[in-house]
Amino acid sequence: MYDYAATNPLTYTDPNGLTVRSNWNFFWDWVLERGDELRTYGYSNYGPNTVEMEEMMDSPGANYMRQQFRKNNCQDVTDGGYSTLRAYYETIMAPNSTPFQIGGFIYTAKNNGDGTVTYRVYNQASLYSFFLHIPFMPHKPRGGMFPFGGNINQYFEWIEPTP
Amino acid sequence: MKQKQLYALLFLLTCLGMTGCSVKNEDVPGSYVLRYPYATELLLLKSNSEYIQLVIIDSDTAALTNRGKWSYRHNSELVLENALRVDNGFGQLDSLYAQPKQGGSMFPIEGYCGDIYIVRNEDLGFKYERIDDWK
Repeated sequence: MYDYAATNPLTYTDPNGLTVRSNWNFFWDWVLERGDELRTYGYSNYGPNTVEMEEMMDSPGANYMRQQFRKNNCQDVTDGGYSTLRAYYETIMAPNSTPFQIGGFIYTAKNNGDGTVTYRVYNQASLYSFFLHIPFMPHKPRGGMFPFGGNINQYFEWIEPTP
Repeated sequence: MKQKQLYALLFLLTCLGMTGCSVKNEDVPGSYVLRYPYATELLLLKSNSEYIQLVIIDSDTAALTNRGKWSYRHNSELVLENALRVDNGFGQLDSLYAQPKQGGSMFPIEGYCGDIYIVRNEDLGFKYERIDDWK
């Protein structure tokens, strides 16, 4: 992955366009209500070594979670939020990246007591989030009279050494 | 030209996002309510740093109560110790909602035009809304 990102993963370099393609596909999956409604990354069907997963682990949002975990004296963070506005500022320079597609999210950080911490990220792609949280924009389940833009829930999980 | 229009739109959205203001520590204590699609949660932040969390599930007649300590950090973030986590992150009731989670829950606090909101899950639009100045 490091080589793939031209030895500079923090810039989200994607020379082969894999995440451009996958995020483009994700966008149309969301618009057309295709594919899985719940998408898990890390310890499930997408596996821990996907480009999306690596980008999330290297993202400003992940660094924010690490900071918050440290600020909480490395005790569990049972519920935390990485705001959409902050995500917007911190990822706008890489609009083709997974962190930009995800935007804001909520998270937990669990101290496993063995020198590692488990991070979990929860995000919902919806009409409400796509239109930047404009009031009265719905969180629409899939299907119904208007079968477009139904919610997709995304979940990332990984374990790493305690910071 | 299209690129200029895109940057103009991004700048406008950025400006819109900056219209909030910070909330002072003394303004935080009070009563807040959050309405989930399946439950209602009341959060009372007392000025002695204690909180009371009251959760009423629509399909249940009993109410859950939880107490603990709260703090306010950096004029922007509320921390609840050992709080209940009602939602599973995707707009559904958490299977372990009745058990307080050991650790800290950290939520941004936003102020708009004198109103105070505690952001629980921005993606889902879950915000505690201030309902009075009870302390």
